[in-house]
Amino acid sequence: MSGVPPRTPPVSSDPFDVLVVGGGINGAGVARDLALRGARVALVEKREFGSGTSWASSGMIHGGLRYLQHDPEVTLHSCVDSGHIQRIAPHLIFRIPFLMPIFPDDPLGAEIVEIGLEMYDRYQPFKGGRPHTRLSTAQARRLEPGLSDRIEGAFTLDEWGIDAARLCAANALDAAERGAFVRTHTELVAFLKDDSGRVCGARVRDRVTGDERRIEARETLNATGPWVARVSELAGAPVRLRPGKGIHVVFERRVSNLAVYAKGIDGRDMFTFPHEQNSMAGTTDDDFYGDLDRLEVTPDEVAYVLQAMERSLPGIREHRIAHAIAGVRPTLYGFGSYEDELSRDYAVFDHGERDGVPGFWTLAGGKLAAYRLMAEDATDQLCAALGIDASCRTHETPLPGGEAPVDPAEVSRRFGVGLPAAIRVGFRHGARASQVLAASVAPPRPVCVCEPVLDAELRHAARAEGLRTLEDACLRVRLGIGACQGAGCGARAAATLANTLDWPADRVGAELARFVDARWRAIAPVLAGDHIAALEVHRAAFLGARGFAGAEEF
Amino acid sequence: MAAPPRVAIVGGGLAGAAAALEAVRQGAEVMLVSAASGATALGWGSLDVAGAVPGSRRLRWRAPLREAPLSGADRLAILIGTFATHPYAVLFGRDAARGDAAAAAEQVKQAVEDLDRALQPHGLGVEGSLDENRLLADPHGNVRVCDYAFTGAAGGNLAEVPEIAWVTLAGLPADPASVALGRLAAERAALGLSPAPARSVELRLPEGLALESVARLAAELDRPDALAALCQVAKEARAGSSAGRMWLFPPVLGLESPAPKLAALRESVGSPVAETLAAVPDATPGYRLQRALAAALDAAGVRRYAGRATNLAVREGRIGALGYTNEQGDAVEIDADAVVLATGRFLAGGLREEGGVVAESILGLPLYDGKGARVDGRPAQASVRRRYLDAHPLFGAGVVTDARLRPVNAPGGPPVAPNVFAAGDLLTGFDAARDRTGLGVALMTGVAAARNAVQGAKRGGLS
Ligand SMILES: Cc1cc2nc3c(=O)[nH]c(=O)nc-3n(C[C@H](O)[C@H](O)[C@H](O)COP(=O)(O)OP(=O)(O)OC[C@H]3O[C@@H](n4cnc5c(N)ncnc54)[C@H](O)[C@@H]3O)c2cc1C
Ligand SMILES: Cc1cc2nc3c(=O)[nH]c(=O)nc-3n(C[C@H](O)[C@H](O)[C@H](O)COP(=O)(O)OP(=O)(O)OC[C@H]3O[C@@H](n4cnc5c(N)ncnc54)[C@H](O)[C@@H]3O)c2cc1C
Repeated sequence: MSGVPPRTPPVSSDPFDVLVVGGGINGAGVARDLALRGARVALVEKREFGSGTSWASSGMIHGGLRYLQHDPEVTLHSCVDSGHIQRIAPHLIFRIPFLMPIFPDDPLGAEIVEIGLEMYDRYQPFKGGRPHTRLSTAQARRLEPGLSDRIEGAFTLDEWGIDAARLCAANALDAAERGAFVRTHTELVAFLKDDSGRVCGARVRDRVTGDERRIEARETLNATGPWVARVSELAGAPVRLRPGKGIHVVFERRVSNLAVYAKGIDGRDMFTFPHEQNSMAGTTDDDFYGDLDRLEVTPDEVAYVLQAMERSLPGIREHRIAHAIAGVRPTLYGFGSYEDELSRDYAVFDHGERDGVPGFWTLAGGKLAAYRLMAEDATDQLCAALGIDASCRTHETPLPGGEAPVDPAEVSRRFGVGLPAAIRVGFRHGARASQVLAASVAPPRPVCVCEPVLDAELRHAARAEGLRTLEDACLRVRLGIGACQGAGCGARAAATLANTLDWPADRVGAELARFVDARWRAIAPVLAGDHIAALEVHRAAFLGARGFAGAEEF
Repeated sequence: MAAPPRVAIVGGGLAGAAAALEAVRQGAEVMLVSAASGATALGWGSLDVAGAVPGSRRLRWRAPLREAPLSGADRLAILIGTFATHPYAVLFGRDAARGDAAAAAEQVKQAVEDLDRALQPHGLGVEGSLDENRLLADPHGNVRVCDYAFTGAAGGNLAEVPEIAWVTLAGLPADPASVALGRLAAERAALGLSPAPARSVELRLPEGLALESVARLAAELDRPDALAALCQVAKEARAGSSAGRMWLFPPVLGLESPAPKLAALRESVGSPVAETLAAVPDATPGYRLQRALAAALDAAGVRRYAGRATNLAVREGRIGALGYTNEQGDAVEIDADAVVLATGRFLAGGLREEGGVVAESILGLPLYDGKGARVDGRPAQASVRRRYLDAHPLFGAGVVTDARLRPVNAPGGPPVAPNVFAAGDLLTGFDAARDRTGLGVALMTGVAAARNAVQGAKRGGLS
């Protein structure tokens, strides 16, 4: 696999067809689509793949239940596309059965809700989902013993979840394997324009090395999620968003068997849902005017979420929250109510036409679940502009690892790793699992005990996937985001990366310092109760094991 | 003859244990109630009285103007002189001039000797001094500048080592040796030490030994046959090794006493042998310490009770008993003339957040950070700062005492009771993770609290 070696881009006399700015799901999705159609692509992401809104999402590939009433067409497309994603990334996707408890004081009666669910059932086959069921109180509480005793039965319905960060990485890596230049920690700082005023690429800065360079391209796509406004401003083609901040709290482990609907004090739908090794609860939706690069979860937001969850799951506060995540929805400005149909949820702007800034495009809005469709639309338009005549294949071409099923038992035997670790690698890397583990000289070993992240996966990410910092490992391999928050694995992982990437000795300390500051931003808003005790060990681990070489002063 | 004073101690970490051993030395009858193990059992192998802190502007390794290393005694003097609420300042006098610091150092020496004497019969010793730094490596190749350390790591002083053999055990999770050695070389350079040749030695233990963690292997190596196997592979690997080379093992040399393992290995390789310090998630040295303390308490005749202290009871107008819940869930009272609280911080249960506010868990004593800000009665959230490295009030919070270590309601105020004392992590004014005085504070305040408790009880002036 060719991967993403840290190579320099071709000289500027040889421009790319498209420079894609932003390695969230939309940028990565477009880069892959373009690469599949034979375009020469560069993709730059200023931090880590998916580190913006995509990682902060609920990670649901849902079928668009809420569009059913106004625009069933959108529900159809969503469900069909959910089916596509299951086909191209079967390893990465997991079923999330939902429980929707019925309360006596629900504003919509159960019968009306059920009519909606019956309609939704008709679309379930497109996405491999099961029809809804109506459960008695006893049945519901047997499935989910933590449910409130105030409920009067419940409905079930089927959705799918995905590791959003991995989905972003998988799209970007596939683009790289198909010849794209892909690089993280590379930030667009200015646009290049030719004498006619046409955008012809960008100046980018490497945020690790500090180096700046030019990347020339015939077309440049701004796919920077909530940052699109800021980036388009730089090109002189303003795009307006109505950014909406949303948070999740992440429990250190599963706190319910199924996803459970809950209502906020203001009537908003929220849920607690199993996600990989954890459960998540969320989300909020508040207009956001702050600094996108310094998102913070506030105690009020956490309190609001827990209060909502408590109505359905009264014992929710007894579970330990490991950390919290915040993201900002790149909602388009002036698009009115939340219930708007999906087709108007996103936009592809040709700024040549719109603002007289040729060579520059913006893709904004939408949903993680609709990324492939949005990418297809944007890619169609870019290809038309470039004169590339190739049709979209992203709905049928597997993402890396999606080519064939994987047998975790076989992986476990062959590489001498525990079955849970083998299942985990199979989930994340699919058919590539053996490749990931085979590259390791010694038998693969877990670097963490919260979730068995194998050193081999970390090495693979550094060697073959262009992983550049320890902090990025939180998203790329889910390091340090479980119960220990890095206390048990941060230093070991840093040493593993240092070994693979030939970091000088003082880089290790600097990487750990950045890693732990990032973990702290995620932990601090949920620090409470017994979690404080764990933080004492965490601090002993990080402050106690700090070295003198390159130590930050305080 | 008057009946000996009865001292009840809550907490079985080093602070509680040191208090109990000192109270016995002072002739008291001692009862110790402990719920579980706390921070002491997580220690990495040093007994930090006044350790050097990387990056600290106030507790440097070297004095800024003279290129000379500060010693533990120098750092102790700085702590006493500039950190007004640090337990050392409370204990040794706030306006301590140089002379007081020397007296403090003398007391430290005495306390460490007493501890060493109590632990030796149970397979653990304390080595070191405040006059010379002991430079000990951790498993990542970081160097910690220490004053005292326990048997195991204590012998691995890099300041005196001409050459290092960095031992890894095939299959045991560890940093890649090349990375650890690179780090070690960078640390030596940062500390101004001359470079020393270092090479790694990988030992392959015979099949069948548990290698999934440091603790598992340490438990195995308490068995003579497993130790013999380790000695054998070490012996085979020694070929070509120079006699002066120090062999540094990960902290796997037993959960019981490491001393016989060190001796056997020294014999096998014909060179000095030591362990590195431990690092989270491993804590074999802390486990050994906790175990040796329990044995020393039993040997000294301290009566130990498992349970959770819940309240202090008033008898004849003053605190006269300690109430606790035993393992069967029964409420029990122990009559006592004085009580020492050594209940640690959050991880040990001395402090907790309940019902959304932080509190001292037995008496609800007021809690302050080192700068005098109140921490109790508010959410923990209110007492943390933005950056990880910052001095978070929450993690420096504890009980304020008078100079005799009796908790007070407000700084400078009278004690809440004449015969209640506090020691160790429960005290305010320090943050062991940031200032590296953890076990040193536990030892010195534990000893002092016990002395004050016994003296007060003997004088009978406690009412
Ligand atoms: C709380 C929450 C829950 C959600 N849940 C769901 C869900 O369950 N299902 C669903 O379908 N959708 C969900 N969404 C919506 C979904 O997450 C977003 O629509 C989607 O992730 C947007 O992807 P994006 O690529 O446009 O933006 P992003 O993921 O933000 O990607 C933009 C990238 O651009 C980079 N960037 C910014 N500036 C520059 C620059 N100058 N140079 C280089 N790179 C730059 C950023 O670092 C970032 O990585 C949720 C959103 C939120 C906030
Ligand atoms: C991971 C880690 C590593 C460390 N390594 C070192 C090191 O190598 N060197 C060093 O000098 N310092 C180290 N420290 C700091 C040092 O361990 C502490 O400062 C020290 O152990 C505190 O001792 P203590 O006796 O006050 O508290 P603890 O050891 O925490 O003991 C408190 C005791 O009180 C008991 N208790 C609490 N409440 C009750 C109750 N209501 N009833 C009954 N019992 C109760 C607990 O069960 C426990 O036994 C480390 C700290 C941590 C967290």
